[in-house]
Amino acid sequence: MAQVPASSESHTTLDRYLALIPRGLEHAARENLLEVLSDFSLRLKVVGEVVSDNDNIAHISNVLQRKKDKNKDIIMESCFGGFAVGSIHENKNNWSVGYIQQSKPTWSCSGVIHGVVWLQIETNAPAHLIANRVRCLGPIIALVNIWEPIDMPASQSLEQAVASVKALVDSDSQQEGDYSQAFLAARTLWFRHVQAAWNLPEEDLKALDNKLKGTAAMKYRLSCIRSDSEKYQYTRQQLLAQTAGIVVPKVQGEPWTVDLTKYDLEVVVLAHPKALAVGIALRPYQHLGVKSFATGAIPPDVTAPLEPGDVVLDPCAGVGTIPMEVLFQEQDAIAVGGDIALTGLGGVAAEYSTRAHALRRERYPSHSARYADQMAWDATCLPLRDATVDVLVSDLPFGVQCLSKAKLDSVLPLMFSEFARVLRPRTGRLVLLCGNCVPIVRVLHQLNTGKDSMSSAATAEDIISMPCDSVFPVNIGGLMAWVVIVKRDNGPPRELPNYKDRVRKVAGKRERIERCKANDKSTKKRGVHQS
Amino acid sequence: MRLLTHNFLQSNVKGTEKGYPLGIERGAELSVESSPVNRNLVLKMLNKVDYSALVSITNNLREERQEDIPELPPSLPETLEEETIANYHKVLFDVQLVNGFLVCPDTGRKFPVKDGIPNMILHEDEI
Repeated sequence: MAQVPASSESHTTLDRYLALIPRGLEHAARENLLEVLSDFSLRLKVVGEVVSDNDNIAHISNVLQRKKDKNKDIIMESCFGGFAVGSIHENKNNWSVGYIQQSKPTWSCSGVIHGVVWLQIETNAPAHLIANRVRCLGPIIALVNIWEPIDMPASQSLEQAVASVKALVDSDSQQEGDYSQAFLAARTLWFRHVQAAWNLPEEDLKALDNKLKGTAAMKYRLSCIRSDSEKYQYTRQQLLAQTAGIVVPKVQGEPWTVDLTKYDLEVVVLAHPKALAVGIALRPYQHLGVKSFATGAIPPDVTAPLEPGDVVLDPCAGVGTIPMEVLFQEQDAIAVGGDIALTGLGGVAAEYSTRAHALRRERYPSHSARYADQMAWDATCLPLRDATVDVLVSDLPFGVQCLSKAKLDSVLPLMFSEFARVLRPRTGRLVLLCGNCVPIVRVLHQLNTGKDSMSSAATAEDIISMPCDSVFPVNIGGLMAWVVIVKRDNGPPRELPNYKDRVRKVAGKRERIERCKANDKSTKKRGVHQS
Repeated sequence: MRLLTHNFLQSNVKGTEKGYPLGIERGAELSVESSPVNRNLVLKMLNKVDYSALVSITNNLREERQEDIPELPPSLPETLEEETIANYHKVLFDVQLVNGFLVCPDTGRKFPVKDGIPNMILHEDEI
């Protein structure tokens, strides 16, 4: 992994965070935290078992119905077709779905806490690492305090709920630490994140600093998220109005004022019958066009960044856009791209490559060892040795222009068995953009089981780590596409039954088409000459 | 195509046993650039290459281009002098095969290389 420079910001007391992770991604978040923060103290704790009664297919189905999602069928099929898909997050409708665990899908929706795991993180790592390097945390708050287990059932009246919150906050002042001290610490941590990751202009940072010192009024918003809101006897707004004075302590200097849209700082209350947490939102939702933590949707973010020395492969590179992009990444990595089309497009690709390398030399004169090479190959029969590739990034052919569905279904298993062969076991990663995630996820499962069945029980022989690290839809100029991210597991690659025959068949078909095209051309030419 | 990429290649022609290292036919057009030595990248990549294949192709090319292409130690030394690292850098990153033929070590099948782009596609009857 990359060396983390020692920062003057690191200190002895541990900062407290609470991250809301779509269930099913907690292993990825945990792994990434351990890796990125390996030089620092780190304590992780999954807070209680925050599960909702409504964590079931019928409920999700209702929600989807309500949202009138036109892509519902695709999403439903990919989520609930009987296999694990990782996490899905759909930006527009603000919901995300976890994978099926013991045939139980989980989901989360912004503004509620269904299907998310509360992960408490204590670390002395600098804010910029948490904000910029750690992946898959999703919504994260600087934690003021968390109380669990507690007893705040939805059947409580507003007065009872307010009394419960007050009792919890007051109990802090009597016991271990003063609640307002904890609030100040969270506020300091929040400001370190603002400085490290919000990219605010200097004058805005200065203004915030003055507000923290109390010489100007801080504008804040208080948000509440909870599950099964309809079961409660009181609305979230009622609860917030009554508890604002309790969870936001009085500050020295100018009193804080409430501003629901143009706020500086957002205090978040996470309410669950068995747990209550208060914190300060660490992402600049007010600047992201999503109003607030409670309504904001940040997609699961699990793409492993390139590591120095990575060998990146794009097996369907076209003229080489993805390999050439690697030249301009932060890390020194090399790329190899290939495509069947380079027999005809070789000249174009060579010209493109020359220009890209010249631009790289001009922009990064000291990094000119980075390169991207290209070749003409058939992705079902890669001319690469086993276990030579660290990251496979590809925009797989989709749509009827490139390949028909039937053709894609016949070549996908062949391509993926090659991907598994050339990727390094244990560390290799696959990042794919595809038209439909369903056949891709199916093929990934088949690599593990060697059969068409979708058994999701992991074994030591697994070739691909399932479930996927992430599966989520993206909108490409109005076309819906999917990003699938998985890791290569440790199992040895297996050759598919009749693999060679199947590749030969694909090659034979291709050659016959080429011959037809060539004949057409020469007939046409002759026609011209004769006239 | 750089020699580092060459190191990852193998021939899949029917009848190959190992399929690498692919030979480079005599008379190939090479380009030898000069880029600033990237020590860390060289060390990272040395862990990833098949060392004997790297030495074999380097010796192969040195038969014609002794003045441009440095000689590599027959086995990877435990401690690396700066000069040796510079030599590895040159071989891995600076030497490019521009035009010519790659040759399958087992079957002798030739793969044409044009404008730096090898054509590795096999015909139906070669798979």
